[in-house]
Amino acid sequence: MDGATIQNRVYFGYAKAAQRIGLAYDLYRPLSPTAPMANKVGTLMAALDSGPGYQFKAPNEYGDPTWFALINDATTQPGDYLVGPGGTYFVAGKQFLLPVIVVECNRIVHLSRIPAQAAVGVGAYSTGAPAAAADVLTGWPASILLGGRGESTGTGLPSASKNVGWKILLPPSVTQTVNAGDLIIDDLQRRYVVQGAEYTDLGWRISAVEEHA
Amino acid sequence: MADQTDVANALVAAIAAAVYPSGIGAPSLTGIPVLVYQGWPIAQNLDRELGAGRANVSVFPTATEHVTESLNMDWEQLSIGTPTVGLTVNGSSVSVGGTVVSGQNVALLVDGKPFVYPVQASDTLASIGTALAALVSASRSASNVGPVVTIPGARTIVARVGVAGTLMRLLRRQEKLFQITVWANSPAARDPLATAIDVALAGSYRQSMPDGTMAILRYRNSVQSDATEKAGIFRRDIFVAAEYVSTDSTAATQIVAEQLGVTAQSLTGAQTGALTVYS
Repeated sequence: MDGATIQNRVYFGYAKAAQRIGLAYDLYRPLSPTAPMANKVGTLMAALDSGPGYQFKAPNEYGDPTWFALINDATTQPGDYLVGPGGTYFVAGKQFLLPVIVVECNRIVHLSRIPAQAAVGVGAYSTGAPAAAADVLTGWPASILLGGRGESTGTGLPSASKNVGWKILLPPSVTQTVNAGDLIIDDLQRRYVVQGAEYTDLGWRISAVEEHA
Repeated sequence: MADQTDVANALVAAIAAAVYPSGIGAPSLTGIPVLVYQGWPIAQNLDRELGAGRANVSVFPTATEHVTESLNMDWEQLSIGTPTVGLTVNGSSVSVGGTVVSGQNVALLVDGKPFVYPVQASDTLASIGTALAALVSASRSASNVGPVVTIPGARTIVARVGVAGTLMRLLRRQEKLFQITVWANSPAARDPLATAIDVALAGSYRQSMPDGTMAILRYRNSVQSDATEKAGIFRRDIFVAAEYVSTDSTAATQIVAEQLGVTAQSLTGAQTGALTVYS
């Protein structure tokens, strides 16, 4: 018996357990950066635990978007979305012989970027106004939780509060490069500017600052 | 008195009139809904307003100020009421006419002695006549039939009506810098609005103050800032200096009878007599 066979048997066990204790989730596989939830590939049973031991003893707590899934992993791949009674999750990683990590998504975002100016000659007014930005991603469920460094508000208004830092997670199925300075706007119309973004096999981990008056 | 709040209010009104020349029922000059106010924007409101495609204009007095002229002038008449009650002397009789309005004093000088009655809101022409006759009859014979007062034996009768008014004096003249900030969600929304405000204030540099004085506006400078573009906020600060007068005012009543007390003293300082002179 080799590692691949063991892996298949582990996933088979996950699937059998999910059939017993799981709930039905729709499975989506993003194909387009502007319509990630347009491609539903099926429905499967899934049970999510806050810990990797699948003991279902402790609840998930504030500030932790990661869950561990009992799921039929033969039909899923990193970057897929699960939408079901427990909410929306993306499959972050299926690491060899290890529990499957999924990330709970609490917001839906679009990411925009200011296009490059004309190469030479007279250019338009150089601005980061929203009207000048072009969407790179649209409609992606993401995890947005407090974290990271903030910065002082730019307006200096008497009623202004500090711009706090946020941690944003996007699935590995986002193949576009996320850059510092990109603007992420969620379904609450909150504006986050990317300070830095790392891409690993788990997807995009982004440090951002919410921008407001 | 005119103060910085009055100037700021005048600036807000002038800017609003310039931005909405046909009133707020019609589109603004730039086609973008604009809210003009005194004070600083509330951060949350600003996010909402600009997010909805509107623009804001805030007006705030800065700390930059200097006194251009210290004044300590005498009281001057700012306004005065119009008498509505009239007195007509005919021989030894006086007729009360006109319309009864309170806040007026009617006075008779009979052979140099004054008798003054303040008109009450509840008075009629006849009750004024009765009141005058009663005042005079305390010193000498007098009577009235309705609004006609008769004072038998009077050698001279002078009739006067006094009204109330307002006096004002100028305390100082100062020039204060006001910061007018245009807040918009893009340079395209900000720039034409700022230009329209700049032109409007330059063209209406004399602004009326509530106390009747005028404030003079002088453009100082503008500062454009895209520093908050990440938050979708674009601003231009227009600094305008306003020179205005601080005033003081008080209510006053016309004098209808003067009374002068005269005391005579000997060379040693002893009082030898006293006399009251009326006029």
